[in-house]
Amino acid sequence: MSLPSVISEGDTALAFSADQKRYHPFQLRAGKSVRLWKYNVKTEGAIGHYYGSKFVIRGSSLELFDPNKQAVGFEEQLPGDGKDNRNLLDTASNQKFSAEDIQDLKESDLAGEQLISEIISGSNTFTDKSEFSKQKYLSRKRAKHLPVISIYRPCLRHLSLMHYHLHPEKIGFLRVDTLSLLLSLANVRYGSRLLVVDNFGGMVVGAVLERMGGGGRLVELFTTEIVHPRPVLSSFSHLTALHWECLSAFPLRRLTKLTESLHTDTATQLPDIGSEDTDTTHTVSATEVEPKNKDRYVTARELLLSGGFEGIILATKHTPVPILEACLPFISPSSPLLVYCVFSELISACSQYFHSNKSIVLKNLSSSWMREYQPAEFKLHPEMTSSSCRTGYVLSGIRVKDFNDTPL
Amino acid sequence: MNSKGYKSKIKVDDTVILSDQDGLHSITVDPGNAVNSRSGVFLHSDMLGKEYGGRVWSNKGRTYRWALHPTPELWTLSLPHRTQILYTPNISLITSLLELVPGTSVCESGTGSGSLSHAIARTVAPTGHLYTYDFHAERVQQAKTEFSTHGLGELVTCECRDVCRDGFGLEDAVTAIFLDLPNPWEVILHCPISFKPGYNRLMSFSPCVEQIQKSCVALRGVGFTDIQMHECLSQQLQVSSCRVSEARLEENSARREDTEILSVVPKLSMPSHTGYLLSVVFV
Repeated sequence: MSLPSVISEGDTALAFSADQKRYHPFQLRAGKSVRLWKYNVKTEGAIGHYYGSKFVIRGSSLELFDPNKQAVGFEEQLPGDGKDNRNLLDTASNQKFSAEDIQDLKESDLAGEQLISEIISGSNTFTDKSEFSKQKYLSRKRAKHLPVISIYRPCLRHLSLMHYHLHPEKIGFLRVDTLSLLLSLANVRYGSRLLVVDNFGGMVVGAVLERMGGGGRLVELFTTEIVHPRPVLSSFSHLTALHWECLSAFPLRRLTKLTESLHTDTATQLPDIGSEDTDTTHTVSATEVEPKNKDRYVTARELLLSGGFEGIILATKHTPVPILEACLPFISPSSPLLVYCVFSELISACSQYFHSNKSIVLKNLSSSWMREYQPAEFKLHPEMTSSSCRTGYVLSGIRVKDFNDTPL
Repeated sequence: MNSKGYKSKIKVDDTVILSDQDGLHSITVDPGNAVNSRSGVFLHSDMLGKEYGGRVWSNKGRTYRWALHPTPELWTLSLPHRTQILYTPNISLITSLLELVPGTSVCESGTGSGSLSHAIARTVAPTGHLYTYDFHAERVQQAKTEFSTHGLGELVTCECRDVCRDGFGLEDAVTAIFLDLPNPWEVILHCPISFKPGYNRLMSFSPCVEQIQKSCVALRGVGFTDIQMHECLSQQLQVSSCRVSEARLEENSARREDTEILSVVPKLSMPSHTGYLLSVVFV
């Protein structure tokens, strides 16, 4: 199922500032105001338009804004127009309008690009500036007086960016490139059958569910006492009931007991994992009410007992090796194993485990590096500062059979 | 590599990725065929019925290879190169930045050796679609054969076409476009018509800064917004052990014992540039 294209009533959307440096999730409800940074805004101006649209905040309402129709030109100009700043002095008297004057202009219904034009007309030095300087001046004035936001739909890309900027430590510094690498290396797709341990707010769980698109099974092995509600996972508000049905949880602390009971329980029939229709036996209604004395993890338990998991993503703040060892019996041969840790000390021990384990091949340890650039025709350069420098370590390998090994 | 579950045993016509210390090698199982290598002769017929994730042996039984189930990532590492290809770090970021999910319709040019194409097909399956174009007739034919062998025939439409000259021939068809061309600015003006009404994304991969500069001008000229540019690399690491001895700070002090430390360090050599990724929105 594709992601939504039209901004609709009731949606939870993401507002991004014009410089893409500030993010704010909000809910769209006709008649209700939301606080976006320093503005109180009614959101109905956005409903019915496409995601990706830009809006200018005028007063307390949102008006559609077309960035390609800017009155004051933002043309890419050739450098070398002969102007530079050698004679320009930086004094307050360069601008004839005071802050109060500009506020009066705003209240007199002069808005948008006309306001910017008026401010420029009040500047003594604007025409003497070089083209580069003019564009920088325009950008600053627009950022200050023309609050433009972009509204995006929640999806892995934007949620990852947003959470990384708001609270990177809560998501274990899972930057979008690192998270994407985990998803690709684990071959996450519609119909996947995966184990996940996620100590980073549910970022990995949400991303995997989005890529599974409502098909397949994801068993999350949780390391806390119970499954807590997680704000990061809840922000994946675009996931439907079909997506959530793929997810079941099981406490990690009961996993070894399950392995033991499996080896002693000869009556348990294991489905042939070579058959094409592996998933028909595992459909459990999400709305089924389970009786109180029944194991609340029954769905996950049944899935684990039938084994045949096609991979694991272990994104953990704990020591990974014991967790991985406990999970290996449930994972089929020729399946990817992914381990993600924030600290090199944790990944180091796991890397050694991979190297000494005959059941793991194609081992690779890496850390993703990403750089953002300012794209332009004549001013192309990397961003001057980056607040996305930190991410963790990815260890990958493929599980294979060993002589003494009997995977489920 | 389609969205059906992993198989457990090797059958005729399967694509199998063989792995040993020399690297990865992909085969399509054909009982009359064999892999001839300096480590031995591996008969395809010997592999039939063997388990994925298990070992297959040379005909003299002296050497073995691991038989792995194909995935787009393993395919990228083992496919026959007809062109320079994209590797998993870039492919995975492209998948996320284009916002691909099951059901997305995507257009790509050039197809090249089909590395990214396989990954896209995996992500948009089973209800999405990939339209992929290349102007080189023989490469298109090889790609089509591979898509068919890998069970992707329904998901992928692969055509020989000069998209810079003729556009994609698609109208109101896709929500994501990917360009990996030497001169993407020539095709950018053909892109808007291929998009469905609403929110769409385009990405372009270019090794050189000059290509990015020209692409930016073209993109702004046709109404694309939110132009972002990234570079993504995978720093390869290893765990290295080191014996640390203590320097003597005083003339007659006792020698302190060495300690052993384990450290995660970068490998000495790595790819340091692949290309720049431009990412834009079209509404």
